[in-house]
Amino acid sequence: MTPPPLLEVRGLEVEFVGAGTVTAAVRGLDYTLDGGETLAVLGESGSGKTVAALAVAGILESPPARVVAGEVLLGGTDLLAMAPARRRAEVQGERVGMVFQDALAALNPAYPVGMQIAEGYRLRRGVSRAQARRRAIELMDRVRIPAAASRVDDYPHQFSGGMRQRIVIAMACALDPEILIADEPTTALDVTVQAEIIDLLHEIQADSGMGMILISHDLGVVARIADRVAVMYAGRVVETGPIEAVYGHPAHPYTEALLAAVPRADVRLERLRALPGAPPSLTSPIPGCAFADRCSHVRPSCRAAVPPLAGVGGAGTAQASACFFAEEVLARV
Amino acid sequence: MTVVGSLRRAGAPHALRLLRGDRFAFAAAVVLTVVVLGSVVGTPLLRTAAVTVDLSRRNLPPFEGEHGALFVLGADALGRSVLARIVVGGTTTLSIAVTAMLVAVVVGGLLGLVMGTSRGWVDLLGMRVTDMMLSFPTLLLAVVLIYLFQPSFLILVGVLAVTRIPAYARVARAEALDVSARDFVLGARALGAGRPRILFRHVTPVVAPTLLTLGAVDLAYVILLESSLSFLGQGVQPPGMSWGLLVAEGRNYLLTAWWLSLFPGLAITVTTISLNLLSGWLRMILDPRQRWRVENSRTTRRLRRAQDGGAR
Repeated sequence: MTPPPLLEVRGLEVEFVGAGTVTAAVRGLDYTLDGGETLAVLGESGSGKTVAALAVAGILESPPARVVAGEVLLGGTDLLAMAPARRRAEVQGERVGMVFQDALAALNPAYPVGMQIAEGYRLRRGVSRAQARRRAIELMDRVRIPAAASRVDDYPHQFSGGMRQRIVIAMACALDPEILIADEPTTALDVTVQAEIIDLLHEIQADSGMGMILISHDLGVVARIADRVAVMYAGRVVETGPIEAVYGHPAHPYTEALLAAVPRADVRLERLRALPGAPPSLTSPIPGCAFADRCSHVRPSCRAAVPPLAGVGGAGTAQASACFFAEEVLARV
Repeated sequence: MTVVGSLRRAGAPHALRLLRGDRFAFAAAVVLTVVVLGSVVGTPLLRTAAVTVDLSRRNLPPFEGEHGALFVLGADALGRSVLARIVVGGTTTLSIAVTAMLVAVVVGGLLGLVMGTSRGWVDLLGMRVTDMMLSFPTLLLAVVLIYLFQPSFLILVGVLAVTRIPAYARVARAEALDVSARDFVLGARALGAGRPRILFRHVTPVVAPTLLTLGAVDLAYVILLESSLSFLGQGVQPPGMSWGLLVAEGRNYLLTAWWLSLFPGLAITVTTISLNLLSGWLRMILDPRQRWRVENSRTTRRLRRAQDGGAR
């Protein structure tokens, strides 16, 4: 029997309650993450990938957000059932760290970076300010900030964008969490810096053996370091599996369309192939497959029932797709 | 607090050098030091002289010299030294204004921070109450409040603070709303920080420089307000003295003894202008993103060079 995964999300549903409307941003999300593994969560804007991550990290703003159903099991304990105070003290920062998209906004302009990196460490471990400062320098070294010892008292505005993101990563890793959630960590950076940050995340993860959830809409960034992919659409996972399998042989029409939309250097195209239409409105229930309206292979049965996430490609592969005709899609390529 | 912390890290000599770097701020600091020291040291010494009546010196003009340094600014209708009365009156004015300002910054700031971070009905109620208070003309509100109670030091401080609290509450709320929506607050929550910690350690340090700057500008306004109240006879009551009251008392002799009103009026003007100048400098120093402007000013650089040269 295989050991239970480090993190398991089961049937997670998150709603946003507005004036007279209820938006179901996450509608039944399942995924697992093992230690030392990188899971990439892919999806377009509004697919619920960030909301799901915030729910796992325990920092959903509620109200307006509301977790309706589901479990987030970390080492067998359901985080959603935990008392908020206990969860803050024992899980957040300690076992789950978070890296944000906009590093400038994620740092407090009024404090030197060293203080911010080690603040959690100092309070949780009860160490002195001098020890915390040493820890901050150590962490800054680890995220490859040159001359860390002389920059520990600098303020966030004195760093470049890439360096700031490194500081945010150092902050998230200060307590050696078991899981690192990186929410679009490279979106605000230019391409060369993106690669550096992604490599750094990969390296830190390999060193520490933590599990990483990498949220992105950039298929290329993900391809560099992810072990497994979960493709989200309209608040659900529509396809998951090892990255080679999903990228090589997509088993869901949405994944297929996403991959087809990526421009390739070796193929000369007259124009970019875009996916027509827009994601469905999340304010009303979707009776069938959420992708049906944009799918080029839609059939009447697609609108009748929600297709479950089921294994494809025979036994032994870890690939799963939420399409009634997954085997057909798989065979198309 | 970071505000203090960042100055402490910068070191007192460094802060002093930064002050030297800005000529106007430096002059303002010197003036204010003289005013404060004068009040603290001079009041106990001059308290008797300020009330000693000598009708032979009635409305003595200033700069005569033959009556000694005490009467360099002349004497009032009862022959009391104008200089001594300005020094003693300054203590009253300053202590009322500073206390009122501090109370208003702390209470208004706290209210605003709570309103800005809690939203919902607390926010709504607070905002409507401040709206109501701000819709009264400040001076009218103060006069009405003082009419209801007997004027005394505490009542004056309370009234002045109450009229200023809504302003601080609104500014603090607006800033807190902006700051608490930023990712670093989310980040602090992701690391497990609780509500009080976020409010005081993460939001307050960003909001505090704004409030303190506003406080320094406002101090000038509160001094004027106190003086206006005393001028109107609703503030400090004789035989007590304050700058506003001295101006008011001199009003009857404007044509014959202009110095009675002019010198206390000058004291008010010089002090408020200095406060305004210094608060602008303070704002730059307290903001880590603005500090370089002062640090890189030509005067600061020259001073630094001179000091390095001297050390060698």
